[in-house]
Amino acid sequence: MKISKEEFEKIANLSALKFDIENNDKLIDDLGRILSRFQSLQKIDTTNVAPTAHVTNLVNSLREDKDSQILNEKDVLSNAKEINMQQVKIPRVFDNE
Amino acid sequence: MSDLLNLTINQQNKLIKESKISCEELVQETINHIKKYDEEINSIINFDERSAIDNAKNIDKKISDNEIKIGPLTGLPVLLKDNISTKNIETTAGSKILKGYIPPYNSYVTEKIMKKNGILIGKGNLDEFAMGSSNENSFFGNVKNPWDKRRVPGGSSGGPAAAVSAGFASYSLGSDTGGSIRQPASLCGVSGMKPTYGLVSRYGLIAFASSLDQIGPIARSAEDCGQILNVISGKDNNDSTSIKKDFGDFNKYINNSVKNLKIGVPREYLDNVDSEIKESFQESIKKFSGLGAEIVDLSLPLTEYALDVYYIIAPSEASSNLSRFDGVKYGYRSSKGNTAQENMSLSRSEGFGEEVKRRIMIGTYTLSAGYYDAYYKKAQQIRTLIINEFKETFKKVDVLLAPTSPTIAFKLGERTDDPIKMYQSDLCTIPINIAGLPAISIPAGFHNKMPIGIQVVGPQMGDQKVLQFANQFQQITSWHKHFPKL
Repeated sequence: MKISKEEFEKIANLSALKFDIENNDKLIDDLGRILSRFQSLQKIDTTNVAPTAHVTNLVNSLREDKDSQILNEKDVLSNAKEINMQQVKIPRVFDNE
Repeated sequence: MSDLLNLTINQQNKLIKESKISCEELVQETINHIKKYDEEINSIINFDERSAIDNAKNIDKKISDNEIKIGPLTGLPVLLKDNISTKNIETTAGSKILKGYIPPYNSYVTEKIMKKNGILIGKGNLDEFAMGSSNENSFFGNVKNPWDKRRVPGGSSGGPAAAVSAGFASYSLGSDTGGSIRQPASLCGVSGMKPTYGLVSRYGLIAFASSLDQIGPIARSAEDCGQILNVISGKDNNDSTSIKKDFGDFNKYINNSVKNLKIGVPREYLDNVDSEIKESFQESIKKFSGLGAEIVDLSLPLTEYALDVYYIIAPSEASSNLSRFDGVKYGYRSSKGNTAQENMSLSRSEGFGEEVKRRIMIGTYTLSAGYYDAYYKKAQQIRTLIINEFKETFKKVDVLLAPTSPTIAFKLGERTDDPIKMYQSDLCTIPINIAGLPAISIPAGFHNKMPIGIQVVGPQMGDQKVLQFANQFQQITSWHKHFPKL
C-alpha cells in the first residue's frame, strides 16, 4: 500500500505535526507497509460482532455530582511557559491577513 | 555487588525488622552501587541522592521512635518508571517534550508507596511515552542490558527491569501496554507482572493507550510481585476504570500446590519463536508436570491477528491521548511559529521523537474519516472475538503458559531500522493486553548467558492464581536467583 504525499500531508496536518515531506520517504514508506499489514484483518468475519467498549465489561462509573478541587490555580499554571494575569499566553490565534 | 542488593523484598524487610541493617545503610549501599555502575547501564533518568538519604534517615528515626510499624516495603528503595507522576520531581516519560516538567501531584501508586514509607531512589528510563520494545527510543539515551551491555534490556520499561536486575533498587514499577513490563523482565532475568486491567489505578500515569495501559511490579520473585500488588492495587475514584473488588492478600495461595490443576499451552505462541526459546520452554513444561500439573495442548487461532489489532488500537488511542501536548500548559514550546496553530505543530514536531510521531500518524490515519470502520471499528470487533476466545479457553484450563519473548535480548541497533520487526518483539505479550488478562513473566533459563522468560497467564481477576503457579515454579527452580556480573 502506497501513501501519496498529499495523503501524508493531510494526516500530518490532522496530527498537528510538521514534516519535511521531501526528506521523509522512509517514514512514508514505513507507514504504507504498516497499514498494508492491517489488510489481513479483513479476512475475519465480524458480522454482528459488537466492538469492545470496555475490556472488563465496565458499563457506567458514576459519582455524586459534587465539586472538588484537586489542584489550585498556582499548581495548574506552574508548568506553563508564559503567564499573564494568571492566564496562559500563546501566540495569536488568527493570522494578520 | 554485595549480596544485600540481590535479596528479595521479604529478605531485606527481615533484615530491617531485626535491626540488622538500617534503612539508611540499605539506601546508601544502593546509591554507591548505582554511582559505580549506572553511568554505563543508564537505567535511571533522575536520581536524587540527597532526598533518598534524607528520607531513609527520617524513616529510621520514626522506627526507633516507634512512630511507624515496619511494613513489607518500609525503607526499601524503589525505582518508578518515568511515566509515573511524582509530585515536585521531574517526570519526563522519556521525551524531550516533557523535559523539565514537574508534576504538581502524585500518581495513585506513588502516593500508596510513600504512605507505606517506600524510598524513591529515582525515575526509570523508558522508551519515549512507553512506545518501544528495546528502550532505544528514549530522549535520555539507550539503556543497556546488565547481562551484556551490547544488548538491549527490552522495553518499554527497560530502565526499571535493568535496574532490578543490576541491584539498583529493591523493586520497581513499570507500565505494560503490550508487554512493556513482561518483555524487559524476561530479557533482564527478573520477575515482572501485568495485573488484570483496572487492578491498579492509572491516575498519574502518563497515558499511552488507555484501554491497554496497566501499572505493575518488577521484582526478584513472584512473591515480591504479590507483596507490591498488596500495596498498589485498589479502587481509586480518580480512575473510573479501576476495579472495586477485595482480593485479600495477593499471595494468599502461593504456597498451594498446583497438583491436578490444568495448564494450557497455546500452540500459536510457539510458531514464531527461536528454537532455543522453544527448547527452554519444553524444560519449563516438564517442571510444571513434575509439580503434578496437567499440561493441555490447545489452540488460540486468533493469536495471529493480535499484533495487527494492537497496532491499530494502541496508536489510535495514543494519537488522541498525545494531543494534549501542545506546548501551552506544560512541556516543550517551540520558539518559532507566528500563530497558535503553527506554534503548536512546531512544538510537537520538535518535541516528539520519531517513533512517537510514527504512531501518532498511524493512529490519526486509522481514526480519520473514511477509514474508521475499516480499521478502528474492525480492530475492536476482532478484540471482542479475542476476548471470547480466551474466555472459552479458561473454562477448560486454570492458566496458560507461553514464552514471554520470541528471542533473547537482541543487540543494540539490530531492529531500529525496521519498525515492523521491532513490533514483532511483543508477539507473545500483546494478546494478553488486548483481553485485559493478568500475566507474569518469570526467569526460566539461559541461552548464550542471556536470560529467557516464560509467562503465566490467567483469566481476568485470576491474579492470585498466576502468582501461585509462578511461585510454585520458583520453589523448584533457581533461575530467578542468578544475577549479572556488572
